[in-house]
Amino acid sequence: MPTFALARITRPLLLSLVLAAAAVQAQESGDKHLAPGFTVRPAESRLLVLPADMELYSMSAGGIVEPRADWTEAAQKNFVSALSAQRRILGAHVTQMSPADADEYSDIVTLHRAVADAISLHHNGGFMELATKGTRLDWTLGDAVQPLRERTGADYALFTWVRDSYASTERKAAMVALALLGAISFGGEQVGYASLVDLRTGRVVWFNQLDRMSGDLRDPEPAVETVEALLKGFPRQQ
Amino acid sequence: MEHANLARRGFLRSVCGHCIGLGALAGLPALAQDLSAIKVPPRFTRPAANTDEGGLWALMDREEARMKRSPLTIKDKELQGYLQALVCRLNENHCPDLRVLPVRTPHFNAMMAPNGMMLVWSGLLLRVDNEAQLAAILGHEMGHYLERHTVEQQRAAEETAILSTMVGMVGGVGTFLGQIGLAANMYAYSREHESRADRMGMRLMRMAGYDGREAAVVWDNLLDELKVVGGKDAGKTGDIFDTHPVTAGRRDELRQLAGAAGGELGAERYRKVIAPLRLGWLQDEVKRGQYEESLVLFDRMLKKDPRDAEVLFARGEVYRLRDDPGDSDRALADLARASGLDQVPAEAFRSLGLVQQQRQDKPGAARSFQAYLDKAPKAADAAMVRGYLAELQR
Amino acid sequence: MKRIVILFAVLLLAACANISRMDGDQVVNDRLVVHVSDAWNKVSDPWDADPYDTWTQEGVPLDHLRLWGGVHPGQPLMTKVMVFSRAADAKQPRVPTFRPGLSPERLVSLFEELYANAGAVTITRVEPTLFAGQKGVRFEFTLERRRDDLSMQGVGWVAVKPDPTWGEELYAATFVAPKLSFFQRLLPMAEAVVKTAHIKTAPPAKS
Repeated sequence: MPTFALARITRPLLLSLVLAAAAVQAQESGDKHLAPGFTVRPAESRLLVLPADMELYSMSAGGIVEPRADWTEAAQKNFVSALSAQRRILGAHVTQMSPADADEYSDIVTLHRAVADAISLHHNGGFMELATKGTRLDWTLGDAVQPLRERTGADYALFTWVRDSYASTERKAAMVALALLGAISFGGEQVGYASLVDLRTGRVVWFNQLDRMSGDLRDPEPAVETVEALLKGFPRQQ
Repeated sequence: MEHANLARRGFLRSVCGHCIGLGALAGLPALAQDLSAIKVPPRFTRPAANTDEGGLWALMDREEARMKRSPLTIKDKELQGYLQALVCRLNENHCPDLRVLPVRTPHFNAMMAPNGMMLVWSGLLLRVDNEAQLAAILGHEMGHYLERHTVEQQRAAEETAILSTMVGMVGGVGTFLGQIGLAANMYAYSREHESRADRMGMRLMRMAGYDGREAAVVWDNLLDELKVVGGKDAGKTGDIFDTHPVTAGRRDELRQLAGAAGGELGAERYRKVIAPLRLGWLQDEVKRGQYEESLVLFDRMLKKDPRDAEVLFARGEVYRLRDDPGDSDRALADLARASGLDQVPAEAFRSLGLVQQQRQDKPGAARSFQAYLDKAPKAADAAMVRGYLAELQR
Repeated sequence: MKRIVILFAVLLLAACANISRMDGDQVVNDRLVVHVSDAWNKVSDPWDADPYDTWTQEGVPLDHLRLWGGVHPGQPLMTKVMVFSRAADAKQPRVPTFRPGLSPERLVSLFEELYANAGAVTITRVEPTLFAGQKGVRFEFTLERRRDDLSMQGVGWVAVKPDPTWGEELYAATFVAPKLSFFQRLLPMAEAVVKTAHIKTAPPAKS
C-alpha cells in the first residue's frame, strides 16, 4: 500500500480528481439526471431554448487562457445548428429565445445559474451530496420562472452553459508541471451543463453535467457530438 | 462555475490592481514636458474574431452586457451622462467608442477594457475632490486603451509560466476581489505601460483644459490612506509583483509632468452631479468597518469643507462604531455639529441620539430621537427608536 | 486508475469539506442548542476557521443559515474579510469583532459589516426580539451579491448574555437566500430552528 505524501498534494488537485471520478459515476446512472417522478414531457408541450452561455478559450504553454471570439462565435452557431439537428430529441414546438429578449429575464437566468451551481456542487455523487436530498435531483426555482412562461407560453425551458478550453501543443507539454502546482484546469477541458426547467412549477426536471477532456465546438461535426453529450438522456416528448 | 465570470474580469485592467510601483524609471529618457508630442491614434476598428484582441473584445462585450444589468451598477442617468461627457471632453475622436459604467463598490478603482468599456467604482468617485482629478484617472485609463496595453500585456504574459484559471481556488464570502487581484497581478501592466498611461492621461487632461497638478493630488491622497494600512515599503517602492496600489514616485512623476499651474478644477460641477448619490457612498464606506482608513478620507474631506453635514455624520458614525477611548466625545462633536447644518441627513439624528443615550444624556437623546422620527418616520429601526423615546420620556 | 482515484476520495472524505445531516438536538460551539424537526445540512470544512456553523437547505451557492454560539469578547464574527490591493506585510484589516457593552444597533452594525464583504447590503428593518431566551434584536436586510449579481434577502437574530467568566457572550443566527422565490419559501424552516434556540446551561462545578 503506497504511502501518500498528502501534505504535498494540494487540495484542489485532490478535489478535481474526486470530482472527475464522481462525474464519471454520474454519467453512468441515468436516474440521477431526472427529478423524482419525472420521465417524459407531455406530447404537444412547448419547449423554450434560451441562448447558450458559451465561451471557448485557447490555452497557451504558460497556461494563459485566452478567449477566442472566432471559436466562440463558431461554437454558438454550431450549437444552434446541432440543436436544430436534434429535432428528434427536442421534439416539436421548440422556440429559441434571442439574446436580446433573454436580457430582459437576466434575473431569472442569474438565479438559474446559482441553482445550476448548487446542483453541480451537491448532486454529482461526490462527498458534497446534501444529506436532505440524498441522490434526488430536487431543486426548484418556484414562481420565479413565471414571467418566462407568461411571455412565451412555453411549458419547459432549456438552459445550457459551456466553457471549453483547447490546449495548444506547448500547453500539453506543460500540463504535468502545472498539475503539481495545483491548477485544476489541465487544458483541453470541456465543462458545462444542460438544465430543463418545468415552467409551470419552476422545478428542474432534468440536469446533465459535462466535465471531460474531449469535445470540440469549433467545427460543425464535433459540435454535434458535444451537443449530443450535453443532451444525453434529454427527456423525450410522449 | 461562477468563478469563470470572475476569472474573465481579470482581463479588465484595473488602476489599482496593477498600480505597481514606478519607483525610479531608470532607462527612460528625460520626461517630456511637451505632451503634445504624444500621439493619440485614430479610432480603432473592431479586430478580427480570430485574433487574440478579437477574443478579448468579444468576451468584454459579454461582460459589459452583464454589467449593464447588474444590480451593483449605478443606474443614475445624470451620473452616467456626466461620465460619458467627461470622456468625450478628454478625447472627442474616440468618444463614440467608449462607454463608462459607474459601479457601487466602496474601493478606489477604475478599469478599462479593450472594447471601450470603462468601469469606475463608487469608492473612487467618493475620493476625488473635483472633475480634474476624475479626468486624470479616466485619462489614464484611456491611455491604456489608446495604446492597446491590454493586448500587449496579454501577449507578453504568454511567455511567463503562471497558474492558469483559478477556478475554485479562492473560496468563501468576499473573495471576488481576491480573484480580481490575483488575475490583475497575473496580467499586471508593466512599469512602462503605467508610465505611458500617466503621460497620455496628462496630455488628454491638459489638452482638455484641466489643471494637470490635480493628477498628483489623487495619488497623494491615496498615499495618506495607504500609510494607515501600512506595509514596510508603503509609499516608497514597488515591484512588479507588489500589490501596493500607490507610490510616492508616481505622484512625483505626475507633478513633473504637470508643469506650471493653471487649468480647470470643475469642483462645483462635480459636487453637484454626485450630490444625490454621495450619502449612500459615504455609508458604504462606513460599512466597510475599516475605521482608520475611513477617518483619513473623512478628515481630508472635512478639511476642505468643515461644514459638510453628510461627512460630519459619516465621521461621527465611525467614531461611534469604533468607540476607542475619546471617540464618544469626538462622535458627539461631529454629530452635534452636523445636526445644526442645513443638509444634515436624518440618520445623523439617530446617531446623535444613540451617542447621547450612551452618555446618559436623556433629554438630549429624546430630542434627537424625536427629530429622527420626524424626518424619517418609516425608517428601518423606527419601531426600536420609538421604544427608546418612550422609555426616555418616562 | 479508478481505484487510485477512489482511494484519494476516501482520504478526502476524512480530511476535506463534508456535509452532515442536522436532525433533532444540535449544539453549536458547545453553547447554543437548537432543535431541528425538519432536517438541514451542515457544511463543514476543516481547513476553514469560520467562527460560525453553516447550514444549508438547497446548497452553498444558494442559501445559508449561520449560527454563532457563545462568542466571547475579542473574538471575531468572521475571519475572511474582503481586501483590495493590499501589501503582503500591511496591517491586517479590521474584522467585525464582539466586545462587551454593545447596544443593539452596534450589534446589528457588526453583521452589516460582515455582509458588506459580500456585496451591497442594506438593513431594511430592526426590532427587538427574544433570541435564545435572551433579549436581543432581529434585523432584516437585502444583499446584492457581488460575485454573481444575485439579489439576496436576509434576516438575523442577535442577543448578548451576561457571563460570570467572560463578562458577556454573543449568540446569533443569520439566514440568507435568493430574493426570488427562495427566501420566502425557506424562511419558515429557518425560523423553526431559530425559535428553538436556547443556551446550554453550564455543567455544575466540580467540588
